Amino acid sequence: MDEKAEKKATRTVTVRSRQGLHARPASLIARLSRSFDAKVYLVRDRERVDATDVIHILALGIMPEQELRLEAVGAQAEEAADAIARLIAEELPKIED
Amino acid sequence: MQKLQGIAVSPGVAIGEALVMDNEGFRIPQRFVARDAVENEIERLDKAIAAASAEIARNRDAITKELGEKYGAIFEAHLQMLQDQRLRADLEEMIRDRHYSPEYAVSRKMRQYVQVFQRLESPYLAERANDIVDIEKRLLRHLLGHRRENISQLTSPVLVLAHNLTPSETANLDRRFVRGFATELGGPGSHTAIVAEALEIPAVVGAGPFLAEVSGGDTVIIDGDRGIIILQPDEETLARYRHESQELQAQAARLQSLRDLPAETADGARVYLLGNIEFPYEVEHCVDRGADGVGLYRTEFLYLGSDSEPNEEDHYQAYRRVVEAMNGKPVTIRTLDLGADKIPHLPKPEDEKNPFLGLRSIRLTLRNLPLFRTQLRAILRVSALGNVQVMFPLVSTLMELRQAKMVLADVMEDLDENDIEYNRSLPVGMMVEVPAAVMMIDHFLEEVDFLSIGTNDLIQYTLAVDRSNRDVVGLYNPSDPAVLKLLSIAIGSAVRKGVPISLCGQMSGSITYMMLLLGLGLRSFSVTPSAIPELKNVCRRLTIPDCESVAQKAMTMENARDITAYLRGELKKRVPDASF
Repeated sequence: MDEKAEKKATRTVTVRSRQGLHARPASLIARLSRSFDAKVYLVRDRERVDATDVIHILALGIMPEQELRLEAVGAQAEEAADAIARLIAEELPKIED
Repeated sequence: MQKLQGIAVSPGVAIGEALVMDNEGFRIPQRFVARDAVENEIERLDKAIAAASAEIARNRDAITKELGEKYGAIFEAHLQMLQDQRLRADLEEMIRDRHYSPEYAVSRKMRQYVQVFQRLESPYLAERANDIVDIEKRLLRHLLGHRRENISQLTSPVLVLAHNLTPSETANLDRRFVRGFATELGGPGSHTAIVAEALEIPAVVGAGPFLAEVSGGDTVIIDGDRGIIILQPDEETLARYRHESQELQAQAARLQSLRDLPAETADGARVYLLGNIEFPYEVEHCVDRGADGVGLYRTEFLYLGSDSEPNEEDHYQAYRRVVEAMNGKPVTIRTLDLGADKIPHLPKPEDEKNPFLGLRSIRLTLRNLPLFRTQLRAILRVSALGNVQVMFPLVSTLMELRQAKMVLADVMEDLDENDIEYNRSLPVGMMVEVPAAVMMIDHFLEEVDFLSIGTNDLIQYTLAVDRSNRDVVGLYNPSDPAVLKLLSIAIGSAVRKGVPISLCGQMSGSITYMMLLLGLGLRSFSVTPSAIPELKNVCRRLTIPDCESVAQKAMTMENARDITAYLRGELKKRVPDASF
């Protein structure tokens, strides 16, 4: 597919999980990201990681109340960006142990 | 070339091929793979990732079923981490372009992640480093598969490099092929140190992190005299060390010529030089050096080497070999001197925050009478075969000593009932290694046949220093005047009462302290067997009145450094070829 024809979507979310993006939230993000026909990236400062790569999400060291940018590329870019933004902002804080 | 400074714990120089061990005691093999093997190696990596993933998924399902989804979630996270595509891509790149072996690539990469995680601001996230370590171990287990080797299966000489060797690893190693040890952790009293001494091979411990810099098969030098480890030595360094090790061998041969001369001072005072041993085969080292006996037979190896508790016959056979080889010379067997935390077949103690102040040694055996009685039965049985003495470690109160003697009397009764032979007047002694025992020495002297001072623990307990802790190890010093005062009290009291006393800590094996100890009245030194020729050489050139005046002067001094310098200076005047 031509790069330019790909759909793109970006969102900015604030992490509300009490312990930041640790192993369990990261693995949920990775799992959800895989379910779309789109490539999703998490971006913080100059670091950009694939949202399906759990180790690299953890390595970003996202703390509570930090902002994070989502970039999605692909047919379901909008849907993926929405779903993952919702997961991070709304669902993850609820499942905190 | 890279030079690392650690703590010298067993003398000598070893040059050879490195065997690098991971945290679980498995060797990490060669760093590089051949160019034409790359595809196979990548396939091997993928198989290992798949196998590890399947294993984690099984764990996840089992735990989820048993405890609920929340507990299974951590395995889910591990599984996702293992399937991290960038990790896979990085590993492939390391194998394909840099020709790393998959094992080496995995340890290398995982170590990078661990470092990244440890630098994270959030302590909670930083703890995820443990997850990475867990995944690394799992992957390595699958990668090594049936090729996973522990150090009991060696086929050629190696120098063992490890993070920290555990007692069971060292107990199981194939000693025929191990030529030296170097570890990242550990101090002078560590198990690695004791085993290296027993094997009479050079060892350096506490060198700090270096395993990432070396891989299996590299040439390494371990300098156990200076506490130096040299990785990838250059030709010049290699040549210098080869020359030095030849010199050392020549010197050892010269000292060996003293073997059949008695250990006595120039003015005719008999000095007894005995050997400290851990393993039965070391008795040969004692015989070779002309030792006057075995002053300390540690028995911990019996408990550490296997997964099951040693039975009476295991004890008996190990003791018999030593007693028979010593052929009438005394053999002092020390009962179990370990913490409950170190013994695999005992329940883990719950409150063991300070193992050195906890349930160990005589305290432990008095709480586990069947285990204690098994050992005492074997010691009593073997007492019929030679000159055997029994010694209790870490006694701090008279009650403990009396209890231990009661158990011994009880076991004797058992043997009587079964008509089993033993020495009814088996000498019973104790280690003096807790300051409390020194303070109460006059009472103890009424109830023992002999004493042996364990300076390693006595120093540690007197100065409140853990000598495996790099931050405080500088405070650990046998020359500390507080330590010398305790030694003077213990030796003086025993000599006045006519009770035999010896010293079996590492301090007695150092010629630095020989004048001082002789001057305080000590005549019996129990040392690592390889130190016997040198001590004999030194003591044959000293006189007692001279040592007494040196000891007197040393006892007036205020700090450890001055005392060490003074003792060495005085010895050097009398024995100019002495080297420290």
